[in-house]
Amino acid sequence: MRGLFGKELNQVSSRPMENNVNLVAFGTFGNPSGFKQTFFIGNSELAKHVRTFDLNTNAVKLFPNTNIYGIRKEYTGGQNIISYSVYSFAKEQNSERSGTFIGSSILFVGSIAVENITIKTLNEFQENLLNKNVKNDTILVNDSKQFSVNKPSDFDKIKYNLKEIEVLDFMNNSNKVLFVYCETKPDQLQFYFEQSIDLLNVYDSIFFTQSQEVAGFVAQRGIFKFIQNVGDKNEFEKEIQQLKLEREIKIENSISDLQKEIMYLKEDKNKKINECRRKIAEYERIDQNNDKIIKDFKKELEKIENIYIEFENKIKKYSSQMKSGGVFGDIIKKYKESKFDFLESIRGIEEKKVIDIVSEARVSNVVKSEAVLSMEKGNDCKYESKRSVGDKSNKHVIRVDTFLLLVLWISTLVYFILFSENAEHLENRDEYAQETTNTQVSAMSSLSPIPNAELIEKDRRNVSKGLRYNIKLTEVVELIFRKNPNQIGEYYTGQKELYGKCLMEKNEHCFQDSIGTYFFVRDTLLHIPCIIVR
Amino acid sequence: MSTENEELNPLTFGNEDESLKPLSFGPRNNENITDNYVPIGNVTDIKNKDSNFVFFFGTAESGKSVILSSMLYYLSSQAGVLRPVLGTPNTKEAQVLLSDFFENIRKGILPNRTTRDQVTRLDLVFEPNNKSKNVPPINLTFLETSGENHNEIRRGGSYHSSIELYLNANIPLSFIIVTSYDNAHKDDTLINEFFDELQRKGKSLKSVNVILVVSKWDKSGRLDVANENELNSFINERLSRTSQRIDTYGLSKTYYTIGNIHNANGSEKITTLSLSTAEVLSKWLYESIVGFPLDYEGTIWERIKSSIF
Repeated sequence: MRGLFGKELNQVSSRPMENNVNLVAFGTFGNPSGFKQTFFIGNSELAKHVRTFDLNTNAVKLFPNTNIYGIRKEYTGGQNIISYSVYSFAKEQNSERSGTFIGSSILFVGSIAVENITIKTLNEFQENLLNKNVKNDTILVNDSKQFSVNKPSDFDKIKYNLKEIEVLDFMNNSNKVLFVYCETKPDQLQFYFEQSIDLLNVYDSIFFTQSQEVAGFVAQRGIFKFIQNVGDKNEFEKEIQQLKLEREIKIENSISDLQKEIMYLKEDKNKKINECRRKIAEYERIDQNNDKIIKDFKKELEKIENIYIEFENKIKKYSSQMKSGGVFGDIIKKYKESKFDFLESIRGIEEKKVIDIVSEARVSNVVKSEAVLSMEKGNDCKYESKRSVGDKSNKHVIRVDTFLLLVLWISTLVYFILFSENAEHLENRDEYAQETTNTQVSAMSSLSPIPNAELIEKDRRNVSKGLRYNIKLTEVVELIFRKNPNQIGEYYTGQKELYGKCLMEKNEHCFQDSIGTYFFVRDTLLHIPCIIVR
Repeated sequence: MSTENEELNPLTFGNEDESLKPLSFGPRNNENITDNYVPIGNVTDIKNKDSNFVFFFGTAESGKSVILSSMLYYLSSQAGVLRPVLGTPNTKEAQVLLSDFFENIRKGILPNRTTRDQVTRLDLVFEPNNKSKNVPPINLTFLETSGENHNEIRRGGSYHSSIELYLNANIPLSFIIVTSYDNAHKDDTLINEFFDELQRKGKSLKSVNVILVVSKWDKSGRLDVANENELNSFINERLSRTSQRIDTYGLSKTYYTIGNIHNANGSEKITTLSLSTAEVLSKWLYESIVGFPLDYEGTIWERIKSSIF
């Protein structure tokens, strides 16, 4: 047997990188090292980063005279790695604890070898490892570095028998492990390894054993997914079929999704085209309408000119008649009649113009494009009509308006910040004066002087403190006068009744009539007229 | 290798467990198995930090798993109830490990070696049978790691990411440093390196709970120590640097054995199970977390009440 093996190997760290085929030996060595693995051929840099080949002792255990084969995918340092391993039972030195083993692995980077050569090489390497490093089921050394191993005879052939790895997602780790109970003789194992590449899309590692004891342990633990492929059980084939089926379903679903997308695209296209056509029709109609309006205006233009010239001529005529000593009364009468006719004619044209513009505005409302909608808010009919015929100068107007509004807003803000003390009073006063002029309140306007503001909240609250439900209006007025002598009392002492009416007008529903006397029926007064001197 | 030519048949795994019959692995059940499958993936974030974490340190085969299993057995068979945390189930793997611990220790079987590069966390609630209000139930999370990973920090090496995660996290950790009677002299430097590592990670030895446990004390020929000095002089002699650290920072120390172990036909079995050292260590753990001893007699009021009723 020894003759079959090549030259003796040393640990890889002292060797240059050979190729992408790596040979690893590992084992459990007890105190203090525990599990250790060593690369004997391959890339020493890779050796630092590759995951360990340790077995999960909670899930799987080797028993005397048993083996486990494994295939594993890994993505390390930007490289796709497939490794084929074999584990054999072996005990640690001076220890009887279980879960121990010795094993070896061939690790491929990028591409893999034809499976039968891989298996042959792996078995040969492992056999050599066991022969030289295990005696009475016990590992003879304390570290994997100390393993004595030989290069397998066919190892150099591997690089001439490499093949591409089929489509396999190395980056996606499911953290799932599949454990198969099956025959692991080289020809059967070849089939399993070949098929496993595809299954590695689902599982990170797949193990195979023909040991009933090991299989029983794995099944009982239930941490790995356990299947059988012996006798009439063909669960491994089912796994492959299941994977193919799922892939087919996935492809079908993708095709169906793409078809649906085409359908959605068509629907969307039709919708957009129809919308565009509708808009074209609308604008064409508006265009025709505008043409008609322009013609009408041109006609009006002539008429206006004639009316003015006619009236001007008449005035000249009456003037010369007066100069020549015509009857003054008659001339004035005729002048007034002519002027009346002239004004009537002009008004007729003005009214027509307004009607035209309004009708046009209604047309543009129908269009409802976003730009038009934003202008509708301005309620500016003239503006809108110009916009609808596409006058660009309007944009300029908008800008100017916006700018003016901004300036106004900023100045208001500055005003409030600078004059915040008086702001509330003044604002109240201004609003109040405006309101007063707008509504023309009778009692209010009868007061002398006319109130120009309302009490601010602080003063109002002060009044409210003295208010009670169901007190008389006169008492309310007295209270207000007493609390605000400077702003109210001083001015209206002789006009209490009138001030009371004014108070009722400003605060509807706050007072109730009961046989000619008014009673306060709320808890607060919101509007208390007063005078504020700037 | 490859010489077993006999014809193979589907396995039958006995009748006592339904799920082990080959038939139960039908295609319909397969789906469930896949769904229930608990991956052993790398953890990137610690979930459920609200617990008291117990971290074992020691080289391979120093006895960490044995100590853990016997502590769990003591706590649940003599000191109270150990139950899973409601709402945060242990992983399938942790459940397997737990049931192994409980079942095997009763049969005298020692635990397997532990797989490297992974942390199995066992989340448990311990409810003491002591009724005193000062002895409340506590959450305990034991972190089961492999000795080979601890051995890696030698000479400036670093921990595997799965372990590093727990050491870097801001969680309450108690450290049980294990070294065996027969290999203690080899571990002195490594234990010191671990102390350095802890201090580098901002864990002051004065403020965390640390205990040094000399395991496999039965190899000394006795199951206990004649007096305190015996343990002290053993630690002084074999672990002189560690001893200095322990004395300087006032850390605890104890010895450990689970009884007599018999080696026959290539397998080790416990012939007499002794839980006395498991009791000492469990009590140390409880008291260092809670502040009251596990066998606290109760407040004066509790004592009066119990004597009346």
